[in-house]
Amino acid sequence: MNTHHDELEQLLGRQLHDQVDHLGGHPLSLGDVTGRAGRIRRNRRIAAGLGSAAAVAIIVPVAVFAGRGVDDADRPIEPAPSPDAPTEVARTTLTLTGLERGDAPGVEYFTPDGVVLPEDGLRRLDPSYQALVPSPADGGWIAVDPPRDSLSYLSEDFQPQGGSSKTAGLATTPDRAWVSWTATEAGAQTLLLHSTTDPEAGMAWDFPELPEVSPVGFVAEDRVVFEATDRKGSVEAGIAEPDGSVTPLPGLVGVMSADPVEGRIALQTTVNDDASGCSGVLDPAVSTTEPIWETCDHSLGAFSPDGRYVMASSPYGDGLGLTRLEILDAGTGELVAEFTQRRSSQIALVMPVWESADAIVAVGVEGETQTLVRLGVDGTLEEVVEPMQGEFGDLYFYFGEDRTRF
Amino acid sequence: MQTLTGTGVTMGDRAQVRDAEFEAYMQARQPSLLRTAYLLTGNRHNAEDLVQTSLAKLYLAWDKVQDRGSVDGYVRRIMVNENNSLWRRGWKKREHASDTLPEHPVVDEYDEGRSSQLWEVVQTLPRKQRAVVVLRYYEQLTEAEVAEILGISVGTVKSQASRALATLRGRAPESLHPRHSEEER
Repeated sequence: MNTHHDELEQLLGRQLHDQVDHLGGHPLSLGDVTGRAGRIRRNRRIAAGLGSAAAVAIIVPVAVFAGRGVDDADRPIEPAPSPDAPTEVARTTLTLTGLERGDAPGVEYFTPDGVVLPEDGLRRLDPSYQALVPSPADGGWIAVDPPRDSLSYLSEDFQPQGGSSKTAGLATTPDRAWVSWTATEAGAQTLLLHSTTDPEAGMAWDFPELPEVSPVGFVAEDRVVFEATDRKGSVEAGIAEPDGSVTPLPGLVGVMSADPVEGRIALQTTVNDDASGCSGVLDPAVSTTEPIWETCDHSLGAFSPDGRYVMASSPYGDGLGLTRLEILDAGTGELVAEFTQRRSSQIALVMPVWESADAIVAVGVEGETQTLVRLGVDGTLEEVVEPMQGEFGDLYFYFGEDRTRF
Repeated sequence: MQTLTGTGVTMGDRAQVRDAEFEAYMQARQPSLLRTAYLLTGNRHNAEDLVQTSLAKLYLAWDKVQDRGSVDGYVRRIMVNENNSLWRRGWKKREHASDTLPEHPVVDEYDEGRSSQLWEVVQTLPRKQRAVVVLRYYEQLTEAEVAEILGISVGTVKSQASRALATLRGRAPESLHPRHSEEER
């Protein structure tokens, strides 16, 4: 028993109580809460009304960092005309029961027992590793250990090869031929780009110690999209260019993902004080400030590997995980497929990731039952592993950190 | 007024009952939620805002949640997720520039103020570690319950807590170090 550890825990618990036990405040009335609820519901309804046809591209002024976008949210949102006729939307009700069994996942996933590789099945792995990228150039793996904020090289049989470094973030191209992370040393940060197939190929961009730089994705294999967050939480974003320069992406709230095929970026454009907000897709070849389309009905996730689609869900995190998942046309914002649950259902989708250009795999959770499901662009839904009866609160399955964007 | 069932319960009656139930819950739990929110956000303004938004979302989901018999867990999860998503959206910390301490900060006379120095360090922890610390050591939840709320594995809860404690020990003043404590004895 580590008594020093216990002593610290006890002191910590006492201190946390000391800080708040006498905390006063103005009690909220039911009216305060229902008023805020009404605003949330109203914004949802407005967004749903504008977005339900999903054949529209919504353009609104982009908020800047100086404000929270509250004023912008009150401005009228004008739908832009869609160049194409609406396509038929695949609509599927989410369930975890009675599903047909499909092929095993085509991407690696993690369990408490190790990592399950599409080609090799279960391999033992230190559970602290939460991303694993093959590195054919040296026959091993690049692994990320989030609790330790470190990145390590592992041998083919997952043994640490030394040289672990303090790092922030890990971004990969869909084919995982390129990886990017930020190496942090005293007084400086370096945004690194490495080829996993050619040990000679790569780049580095030097940054000062602050703001904290973290790669988000790629708009080409040699152009890394990154966020820089200062001590006050202000976010700036840019593209690290192959000539060593940086292209700023001003006036956005945050970057969600990027696509190296079409060169697009999914971003959050506004955020309101009730936590609602708008998102959009930017094509920096067209404009570094004006999204090509915008929606207040969704938050956006990762692009499909071919850049054709972008994952989407509710703009609100309601505590249950994702209770709906949509697939949008990345070029127009048009709804292609949606997976929603019945009102009485308690299913949550966790960590959806693109498995291929036309399918997503995600952890499906309902009560203590957990499984992995495949959600197709065509609206198909199938189970891809044997469901588990997990212990309450323990997420049994999870995907690599570099693949997840929700 | 439309009768929903043969029991004579109308929509209006049901709404009144629903609001009364919610209000009772809200009044009973609000102080506790505010304290947790304060520890998550670090200042009262953001904490009150977080509680209001979380309760509003709970209100919208009330019919759905109360059947689960775990309303406290549900609203905690909303609160943590909301706080994290606000952090991700990049504006919460800007408001931290005006951090204020609670009205009645207490210095524990038995530890000569060492514990208040811990709080200073807690506020520098990464958001997920901080959430683990609050839920584990303030709310006294089990590791499994913390994992459920944060949507992470129990293993990650353990490693995050361990890392947070290591950080606290590393950054806290010398007086918190075990050797120093032993010497004091």
